[in-house]
Amino acid sequence: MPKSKKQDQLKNSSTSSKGAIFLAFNNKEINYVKLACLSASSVRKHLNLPCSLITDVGSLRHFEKLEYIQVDKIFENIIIDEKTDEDYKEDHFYSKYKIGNIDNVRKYYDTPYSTFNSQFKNLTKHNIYNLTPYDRTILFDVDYLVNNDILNLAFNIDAPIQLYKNAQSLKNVIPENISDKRLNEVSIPLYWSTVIYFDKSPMSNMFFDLWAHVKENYDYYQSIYKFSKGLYRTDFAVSISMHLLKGFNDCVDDVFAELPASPMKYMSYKDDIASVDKNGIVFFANDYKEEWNNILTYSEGENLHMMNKRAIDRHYDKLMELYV
Amino acid sequence: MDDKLEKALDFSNYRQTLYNQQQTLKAKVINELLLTYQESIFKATPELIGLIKTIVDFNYPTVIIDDINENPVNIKNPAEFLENLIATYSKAKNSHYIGYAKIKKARSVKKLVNFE
Repeated sequence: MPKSKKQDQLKNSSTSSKGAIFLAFNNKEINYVKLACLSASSVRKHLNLPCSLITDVGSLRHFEKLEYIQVDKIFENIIIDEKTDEDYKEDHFYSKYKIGNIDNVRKYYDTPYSTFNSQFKNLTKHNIYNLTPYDRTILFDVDYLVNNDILNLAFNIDAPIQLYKNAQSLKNVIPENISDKRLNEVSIPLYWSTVIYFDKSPMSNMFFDLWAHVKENYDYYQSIYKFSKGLYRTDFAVSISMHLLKGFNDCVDDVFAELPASPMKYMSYKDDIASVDKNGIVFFANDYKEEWNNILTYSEGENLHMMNKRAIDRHYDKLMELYV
Repeated sequence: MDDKLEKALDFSNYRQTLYNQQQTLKAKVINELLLTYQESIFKATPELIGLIKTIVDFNYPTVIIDDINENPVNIKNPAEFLENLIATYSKAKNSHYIGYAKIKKARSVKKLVNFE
């Protein structure tokens, strides 16, 4: 695919800005803004990037009321998503995936022994292309901790979209859950929407437009790609967009590349944090098949997708000390 | 539990943790071997360093090398590229050596995972 002149100009421009962006919409169980502060602190320390937050008035007020940290000390921009709860309710996803009185419910694990259900506001993630204040952006999920500077290499590579395709657990093996590898056992590979590098090129625009299209026609694509029904998962929407844009081929190319340091390492929902020391984190890595069985693992200097959000909350202050 | 069996199981736990920490270290070092040059990403392997050194020794002005995504890149300054490769390789392998020595010294699960 030919690259646009505009993209080349953007890459070469010394004035082109770069930064990191986070989306955080609190629900009744998880304070996403608090998590975003931790993740952004890790990005500032290791990547030295300015950070911006996209949130809503309710989430921000809730966070400020608890007075954990001054949010504007961490984020140079706080962008308020004007969409109200009423607007969300009009979105067909929220009525479709309603359980009881709660809309778009997701089941969260906190180790194998505890679960909770809560609302998941991820429907506007594709709007990030229009909302970012930067020419070149890395979008981070708020549960991603950066512990080295490898992701800065993404800014030096001539690929407008970069994201992770492969992941690895704390035990250094590929995910055991099929939906973390493929859309179904015989379907296309999964791309993770956890961390996405993008620029303001027409190619990137096309990717985010297609993501929006897949979201709007999620039922149709569910019937084509045969992934599990239920919650809207942005990883699935991104994977389908990649598949369509790559001409229905699963190939590595110079437009839609993998982020540096693939595979992405993750702590699963059933893993737990044992302790945090001054350099790293000790985990209980849970066995997927034998849930009573854990091994201790130590992680230092590795980027981590920390899926168990309650575990982060239990060790929040110690984790924050890693990044101040 | 029988003492011998308990010791064997402790040793088994230790070996499992040791193996996992070694794999973690290897993955970390593989990432540290990455470098970007001319807007492409390469891995500083001994083979690539050897090839570029040969190119430099033979005074070739340029050379085509595949990046890690198998896209061919015209390296316009092989000598400078070689310097970058060697610097990245040395730094990564030094970190590997230090990490390996630390793991080798740890004789219990607690020491392996810094859990004292």
